[in-house]
Amino acid sequence: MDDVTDVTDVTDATDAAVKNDGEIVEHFWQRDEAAIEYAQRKYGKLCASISAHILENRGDVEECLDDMYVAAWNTIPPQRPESLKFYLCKLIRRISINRAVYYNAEKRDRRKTVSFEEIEEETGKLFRDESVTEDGGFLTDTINAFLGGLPKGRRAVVVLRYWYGLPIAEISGRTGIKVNTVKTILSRELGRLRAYLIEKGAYTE
Amino acid sequence: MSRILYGMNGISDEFISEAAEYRRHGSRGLYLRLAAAAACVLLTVSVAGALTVGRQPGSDRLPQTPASVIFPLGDTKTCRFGTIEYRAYDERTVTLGMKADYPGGTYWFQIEAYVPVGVDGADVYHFITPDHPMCGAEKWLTGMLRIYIDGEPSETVCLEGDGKMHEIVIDFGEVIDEGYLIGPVPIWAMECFYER
Repeated sequence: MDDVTDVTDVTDATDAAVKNDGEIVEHFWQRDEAAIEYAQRKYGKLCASISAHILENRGDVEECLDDMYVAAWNTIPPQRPESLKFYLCKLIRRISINRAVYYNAEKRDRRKTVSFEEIEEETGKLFRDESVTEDGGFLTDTINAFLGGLPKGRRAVVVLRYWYGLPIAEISGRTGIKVNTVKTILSRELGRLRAYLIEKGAYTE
Repeated sequence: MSRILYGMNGISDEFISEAAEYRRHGSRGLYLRLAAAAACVLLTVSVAGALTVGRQPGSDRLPQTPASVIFPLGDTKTCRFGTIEYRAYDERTVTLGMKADYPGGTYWFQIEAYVPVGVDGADVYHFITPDHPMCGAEKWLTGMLRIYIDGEPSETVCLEGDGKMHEIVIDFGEVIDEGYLIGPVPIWAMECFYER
């Protein structure tokens, strides 16, 4: 995946004719298929980049992108996302993780990126699926509350790692934080997240 | 594993956006380069005397006496909400005594201690004000500190207003290990604030 854009770029397209999120969402609501094209033009590369940090295979990324547009088409309406960017980003992330998990579960060729495998290892050391007692909204709300309590820099490191799926070296390069410090932050904050989830009843020992 | 990563999927758009922009506007590296130029670090130590009522909505942040003072080792400063003793410092730590005088009260006060930073041996001392743009660095750096209250590790310096003197040890370990602060770390000044 060598021609994807910077994962944290806000948009792909720069021409003034690009519609704003509200207009694109309105096209979705009007069941106008041009909505897909507008979304693709504006956020296609960004979403591809997020997927490419999870899945190594270009074909998989493209299939996930197709699935994402279908999912957006099927969910808008009734959804009316305030930020189409983050709505699509979350869709592509979930779809890509699903595919990575599928490959792992089926023992198929491991078409996940090295970075994502490392992330799985990191989180797998502290979190067992069977110990997560709450899913969905409560789990997310609890994670959000935890993140909200972090200093901005530490929160950015955690999000860049566990949401964007960036390699540690890349996080270091972006933030100017030394690699070892990034590792220390991730290790500590993951441990603190575990303790926080236990305290809030979203995870058991 | 995957359930946690799935759970992360729904995190706030604000956090996702903030992380994306962090390198451009708020990276610690940038702040620390600024810190090198300014050669200063702001350490914020908060002392809470309000457990039951806490910080009330619409609270004001008002400077209190002493507004800004040189705080020599061994000195004790008292403001209307409590007392601070500057007891010791060494290569890695600063030791303070703190007492919050309002038992269960609604007041909250904050001490801002300015410590000098030497970067690459350049021991330039400089004070910054609470509204200085550099203040963004403070949160990052305090996040790397280890703080102990009466020997117990604490995430924040938060004291009950029990009228008793407590020992606060601020361990600058990680900041020093990373070379962003060169010890020893004498505190030069403090300011008291409160919120009501």
